[in-house]
Amino acid sequence: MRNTQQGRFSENFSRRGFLGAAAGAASMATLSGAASAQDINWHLECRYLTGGAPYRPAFATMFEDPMFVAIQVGPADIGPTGTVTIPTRAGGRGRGRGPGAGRGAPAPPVFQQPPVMPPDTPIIPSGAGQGIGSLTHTSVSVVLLNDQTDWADTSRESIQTAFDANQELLGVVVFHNAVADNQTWPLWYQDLAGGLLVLNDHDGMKRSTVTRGASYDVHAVGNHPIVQDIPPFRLTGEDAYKGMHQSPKITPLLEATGPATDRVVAWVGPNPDKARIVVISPGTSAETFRNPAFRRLVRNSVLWAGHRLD
Amino acid sequence: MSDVSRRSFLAGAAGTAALAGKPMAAQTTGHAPALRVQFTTGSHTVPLNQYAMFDDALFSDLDTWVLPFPHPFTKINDPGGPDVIVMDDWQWANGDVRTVAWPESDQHPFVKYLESGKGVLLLHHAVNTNEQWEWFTHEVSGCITLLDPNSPGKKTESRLKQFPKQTLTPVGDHPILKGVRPFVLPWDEVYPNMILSSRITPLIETDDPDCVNRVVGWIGPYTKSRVVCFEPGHTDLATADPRFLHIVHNMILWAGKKLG
Repeated sequence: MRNTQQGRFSENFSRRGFLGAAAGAASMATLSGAASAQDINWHLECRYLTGGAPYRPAFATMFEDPMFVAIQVGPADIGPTGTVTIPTRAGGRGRGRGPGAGRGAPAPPVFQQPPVMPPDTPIIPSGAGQGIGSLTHTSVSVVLLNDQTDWADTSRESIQTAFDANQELLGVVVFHNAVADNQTWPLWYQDLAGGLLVLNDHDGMKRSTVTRGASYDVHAVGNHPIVQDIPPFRLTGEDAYKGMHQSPKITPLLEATGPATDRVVAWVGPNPDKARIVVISPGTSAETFRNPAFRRLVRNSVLWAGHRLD
Repeated sequence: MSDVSRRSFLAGAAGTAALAGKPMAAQTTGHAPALRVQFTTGSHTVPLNQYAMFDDALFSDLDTWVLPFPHPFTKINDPGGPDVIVMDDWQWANGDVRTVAWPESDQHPFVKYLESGKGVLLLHHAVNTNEQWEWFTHEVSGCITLLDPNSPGKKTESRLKQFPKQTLTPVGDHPILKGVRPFVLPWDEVYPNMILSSRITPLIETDDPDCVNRVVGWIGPYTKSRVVCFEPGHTDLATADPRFLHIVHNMILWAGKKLG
């Protein structure tokens, strides 16, 4: 199998381990529209960005599941004064507290030239190209957001410019914490993500409620490729968001039942031709990250956002 | 299969087994965790395995959450705050070779936290964090890096060296070193030009010939709380190595006064 794989995918192979790669390739081969195991010679370069709100380590462990074998995930966290990655971030105050809220700041050079690697070593997260400030960079395919910050004006402006010019943005998967990103940026929560966990009343939106430790059933809706093979599943110990702002133009992927939660809990953003953005609002408990159906939902979302699943 | 691939394979298999029969984190089992741990990163990439190691079965006695910058210390002194903070941040500003100091709004709660006697582990990048906050480098980490090209004793041009295989050897009989024997760490990153305070307590040494100071694991000079530093931890391979995990776990337990 290894001889059929090219370039960095073969490095990926060693990082996940032999059995993992084999199982992953087999898993990928079952994907609707995906290549057979023998033909997998691509990988999706992803960055996941966190900061401003806590999360469980099981979030990272999820990406080591063999089903993510062709998805290369590199964490890159936000600094104290902002910046880093997709779009350069503001020195935001996370959940809306603390000093220095809303300040922008220069980014540290988190994306550097790939180092010269000895053979058969893993890809380390810092090894990929330059920054992605405009969400149009070519070295990264998909951005995984689990931060909770307000992005810097410079990033917002560059994304707005690309959006207005009909330039397709990078694929984005928005997780849990990041559903509250960019509280004061309508382009983001109306036209791109298509939803917002509202932290405080503003702009005619009422504050959303968050119920901790909730249990609820979810099931796929529609026939979007992301949910074609997602069975119903139950979430436990999870946050339930209710009263999120949601654009009428979103495409629902996952619906929940229960008094504490909004009905639609995962969706595709309103402008998939300009930006393939998937929002998955559950994602706080370790059990959720270990749930095979949830992992498959995440895997499919990443692949679709990266144009590897249609 | 190469040596490294074999290690990767073994680590992967162990991880899969751990996942399948996972003693879940304390928040899901109802068991009281030994310690509450906050893992804080920021401004630089960290290998995925370093986050995931906290999900390893070995760490199931810890209740761990990840809280990167910005403002990670806002609640550390509140009830329910961490007993141990594990740092792996690396804050730069363009045009300055030294890492920048944390904002004052982060410094103040961190100092209060230390003064309360709670523990800190500075992991990998974080042994070089706050180079522009002298109190931190002199009193907490006990570590500075020779950055001036003309510094006497400097061995390499670069701040760092990638990717040596190094033999790590325990020094002394500190409780952290219980069960630690010399071992070869898979390809990682070292900081050859670090010099350490005379007030640190060495724990682990490297055999890398380019290092000005061979000590890569040490107890910091701070006396009001337990601060421990460990330089390795840059690659997925290193951070998946069970011997690396054993040392880090022991360091966390010691910093949280659950060991020694």
